[in-house]
Amino acid sequence: MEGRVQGDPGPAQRPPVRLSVVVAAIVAAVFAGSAIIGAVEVLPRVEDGISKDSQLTSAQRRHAAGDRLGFDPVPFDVFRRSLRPRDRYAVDVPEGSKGPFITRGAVVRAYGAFYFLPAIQVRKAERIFRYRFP
Amino acid sequence: MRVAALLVANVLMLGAGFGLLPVLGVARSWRELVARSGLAYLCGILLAGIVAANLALVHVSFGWIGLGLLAAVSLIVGGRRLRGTERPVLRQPGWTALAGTAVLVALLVEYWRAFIVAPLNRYDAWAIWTLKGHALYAFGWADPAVFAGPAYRFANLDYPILLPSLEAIDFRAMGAFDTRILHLQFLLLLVAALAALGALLRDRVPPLLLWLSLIAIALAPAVFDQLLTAYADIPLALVFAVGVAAAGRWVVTDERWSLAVATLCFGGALLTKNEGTLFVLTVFVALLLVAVRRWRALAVAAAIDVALLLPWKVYVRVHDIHDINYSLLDTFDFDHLSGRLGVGPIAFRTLGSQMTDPQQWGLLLPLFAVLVVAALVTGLRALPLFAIVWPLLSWLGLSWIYVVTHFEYSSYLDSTKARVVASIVLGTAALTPLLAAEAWRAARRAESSPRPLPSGAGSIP
Repeated sequence: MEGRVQGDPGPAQRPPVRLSVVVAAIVAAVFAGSAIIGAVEVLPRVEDGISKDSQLTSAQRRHAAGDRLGFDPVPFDVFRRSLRPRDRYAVDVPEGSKGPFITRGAVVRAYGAFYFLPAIQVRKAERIFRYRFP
Repeated sequence: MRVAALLVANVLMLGAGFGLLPVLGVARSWRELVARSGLAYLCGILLAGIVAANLALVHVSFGWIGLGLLAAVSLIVGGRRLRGTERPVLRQPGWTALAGTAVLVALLVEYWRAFIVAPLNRYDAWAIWTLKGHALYAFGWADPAVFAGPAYRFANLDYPILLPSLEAIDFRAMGAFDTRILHLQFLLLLVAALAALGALLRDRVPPLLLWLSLIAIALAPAVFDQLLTAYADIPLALVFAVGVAAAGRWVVTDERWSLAVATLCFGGALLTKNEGTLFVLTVFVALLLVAVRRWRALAVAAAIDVALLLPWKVYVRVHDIHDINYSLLDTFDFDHLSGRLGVGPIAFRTLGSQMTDPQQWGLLLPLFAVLVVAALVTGLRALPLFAIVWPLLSWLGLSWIYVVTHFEYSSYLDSTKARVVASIVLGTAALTPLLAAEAWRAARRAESSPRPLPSGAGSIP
C-alpha cells in the first residue's frame, strides 16, 4: 500500500502465475510421464517373468544357460559328477558354426568352464570332456 | 535361510557404510548421520566390494569374518568421530516422502518377486561375472589358474573384479553357489543407489521432483530388464550415477564431503567394469573444466581413484592379461582405422537413439536435455556445462570403441548398444533433479529481483 501511495508499482507488476512455477510443474509432469511410460512397459514384463520363471525346476534352473544355447545337459552332468575341486580337464569339441564373435565350440568350452567349476579347464589334460553337437 | 544369510551380509555392509560416513566427512554429527543415512548402504557395499576385490589379489578370502570385522571397525571409527556431537531430531516426514516411499517400496517388492525366481541364463552373466564370483568363492582368491588361465580368456579376464567379489561375499554368506538368490544382490544395489540419490539431493531438490525422479529411474524398463540379466552394466551405471550426482552437488556447493562420496563411487565404477574408466575420466575432465580453481581437491580425488584401481592393474600386467574386445592403442593403428572411420558416426547415432528410446529409458534423457538448456537460460554456467561435457565425451568415447575394435562393428554394436549407454543415461538422470532445482532457484531469483544474478552456485569458480 505504501509503495502505491509513493507511486512504486512494485509487486503489482509481478505476473499472477510465476514462470518458474509453470516450468517446475512441467518438469514434474514429464518425470511423472516418464514413470508412467516405464510402468506401462515394465510391469507386464515383471509379471511375465514371475509366472514363467517361478515354474522352473531346480534342474532346469541349473541348466538354464545351457538350455538357452540348446546344449544337451546329460554329458555335462555326467562329466561334472566325475570331477573334484581343482581337477584339471580339457574340452574336446568341434569348432562348429561361427557366430558373430566366437564359434559354437568356443561357447561349449565357455559353458564347460562355468559349469564344471571348481574344476579348472586347461588347454591340455588327461581328463577330457567330449561334446558333439546333435 | 539363504535369503536371510544374504540379507544379513547386506546389513553388515550397511553397518560398514554407516561407519564410513563420518570418515568421509558426510556426517559430522549424529544429526547429519541420520539425515544422510541413505548414503550408508551404497557406501558400505562399495567399501566391502573394494576391500574384497583387493584382498582377493593377495590370497585373502573375504567372508563372514571379514565382513563382520569391516563393519565393526568402521562403526567404531565412525562412532568415535561423532562422540559428543549433536543428537538427531526426529521430524515427521512430509506427505510427498511418504507417498514416494510407498510407491518405491511397492515397486521394489514387485521386482523382488521377479528377481528371486530369475534363472542365470544370459551369456555375459555366467561366462564373465558369475563364473568369476564362483571362482573367488571356491578358491578364496583370484587364482591365476582361472583369472589368468588361457582357457578362460573368453571371460574378459582384464575386467576388474568388484562385482564378482560382491557375488563371492554373497556365496560365502549363503554357504552355497546359488545363482537364483544371487539376483537379489542386484536388486539390492538398486535400492542402495536410490537411497543414496535421495540422501544426496534431498536438501537441494524439492521433494516432489526428487521422488518423481527416483520413481522414474526405478521404472525405466532398461533398469529392470538389464538388472535382471545379472550383467555389470546397470550396477556400474547406478554406482557411477550416484558419483555424478555427488560431483554435481560439489560443483554447486563446494562441500568436501560430496566430492568424497563421488570419489568413492568413481573408485567403485573403476573396479566394476573397464568402461568405468572412460566414464570416470570424462567426469574428471568436465569437473576440471568447470571448477579449475579447485584443481587441488580434484587432483587428490583422482589420485585416490587411481590408487584404488592400481592393484588390479598390477595384477593384469603381472599376468599379461589383455582386453579381447578392443585396445585403445589401436587408435594409433592408422591401417586399421583407415577403413573404419565411417563407423564412428553410425555408432554415435545408434547409441543416441538407444539413449532416447522411451521404451528403454522413458523420458529421462529428453528431460535432462531440456533442463540443461533451461539452466543455461537462467544464467547458470558451471552445473549445466558439467552436465553437457561428460555425457558428450562419454558418448564420443563409446562410439570410438566401435571404431577401434577388431570385431565386425555392426554385430558388436547390436549386441552391446542397449547396455553400454546405461551409465550415460542414469548419470544424466541423477543430475536432472539437481539441474531442475538450481534452475528453479536461479529463475526465482531473477523473478524476484531485476538485478543480475549474483555470482555463486551456478557460476564457474
